[in-house]
Amino acid sequence: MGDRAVVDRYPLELTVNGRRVRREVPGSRTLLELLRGDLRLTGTNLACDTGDCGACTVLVDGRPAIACLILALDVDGAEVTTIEGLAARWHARSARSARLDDRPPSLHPVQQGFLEEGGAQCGFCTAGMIMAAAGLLEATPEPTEAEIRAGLEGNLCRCTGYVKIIHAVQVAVNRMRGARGAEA
Amino acid sequence: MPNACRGDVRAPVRPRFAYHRPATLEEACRLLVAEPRAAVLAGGTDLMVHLRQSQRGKRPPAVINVKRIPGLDRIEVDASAIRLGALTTLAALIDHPIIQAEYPVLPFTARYMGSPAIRHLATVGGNLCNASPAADLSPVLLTLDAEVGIVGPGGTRRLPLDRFFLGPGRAALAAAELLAWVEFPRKHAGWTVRYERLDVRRAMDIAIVGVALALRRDGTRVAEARLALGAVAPTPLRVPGAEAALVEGGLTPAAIHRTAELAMAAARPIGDVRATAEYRREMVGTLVRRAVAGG
Repeated sequence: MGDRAVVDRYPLELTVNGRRVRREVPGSRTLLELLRGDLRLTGTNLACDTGDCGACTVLVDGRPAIACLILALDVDGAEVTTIEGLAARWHARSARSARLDDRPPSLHPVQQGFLEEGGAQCGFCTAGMIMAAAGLLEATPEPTEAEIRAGLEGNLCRCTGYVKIIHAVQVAVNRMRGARGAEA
Repeated sequence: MPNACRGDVRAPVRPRFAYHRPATLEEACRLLVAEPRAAVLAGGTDLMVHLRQSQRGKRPPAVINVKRIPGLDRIEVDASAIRLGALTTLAALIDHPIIQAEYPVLPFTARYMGSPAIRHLATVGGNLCNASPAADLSPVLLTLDAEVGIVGPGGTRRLPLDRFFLGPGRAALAAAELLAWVEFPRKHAGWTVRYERLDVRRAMDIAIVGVALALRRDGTRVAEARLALGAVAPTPLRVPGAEAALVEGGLTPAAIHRTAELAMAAARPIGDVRATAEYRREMVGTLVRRAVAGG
């Protein structure tokens, strides 16, 4: 009944990982469905689909957001960064003088930290956890441990017990401080 | 990576709906007149979950995203009042310097809600319009004597916040009306305002019981008191009798005991997956005593 009146698709234009994206999407499509389905960016995981677990955390205009709770059309005109674009975002935001060379790094310092500290086990929460941490560090470059825990409070991990994740973020903080030191 | 996308080829879990993004409140009202069953989308952190779970037949045929209406996200402060635009995000509430200095209870309460990523999306107006009995901001704003501004086809009207909540999920919004702001008088120098919450998980959880208490002391006496309860009745609840007991009796053990008893008597809790009704009522007394002790 209601379906008859529904206009099927609406134009959408946004930036994803630095790339301009134009699509026509149904009103009901979520940002997560757009990323995983339309754009085949499957690094962002679909888990609870109700905003409870944080696995689908991405950055919208630089701030952590839950992709399953946002309609794709709501981010029309916005800049979205997913785990696939995080290293390039870090590269683009670092001052030129701090770069050893102009090749984009393959990993963001938070990703490197997770690798070194064993911050990932099954990996299902990992992309969302890393995006939440990266968003936290953009707003708060020198967080206390309490601030790291508060920054990740919306991200569930059923494997690690969180301790190694906290360590991974702390390792990233140190590395990013070093990079800022090199700029100065 | 076998079948990395398999989970996405299933039928969409949300029903299809028309999507509108009005640029003004007037346009939003016109859209609501044309489609009274449309759902209004602000932060979306509750609506998106409801859309996914809504039963067939109750699905809204249209979603009206009001988030781009300019000015509705402003926090306006003048000498006599603080007005929060309905689209003020919880993150903006937490970050506002004057609110931090004069009303720290609001950032304190907002930090209980969701997670950082949720707080960048979720709005003050959405929290009120959902009319959840367990909404955290509602009891706090009730103790601040808040009023709401409601815009509709006929113009704007004011309503005391304690008349805004009608029942679970039901706010006093008539057809084609929208919440524009919530405002409270900036008269709380010398008051202490506290929010006590009982919950299971620190983040992403809702209150089992919430208690907000605003007190103005005069020496050892209580000159004025406001007490509001959350999650223990069909709506957030002011308890005038308990407030009067504090003002009459002061901060004596007997008066505090009587205040807690009156608050427990006023509560009409249900038992559910989070707690039994008996436990909720008992905890109302505990949280009231805790709030008085802290204030």
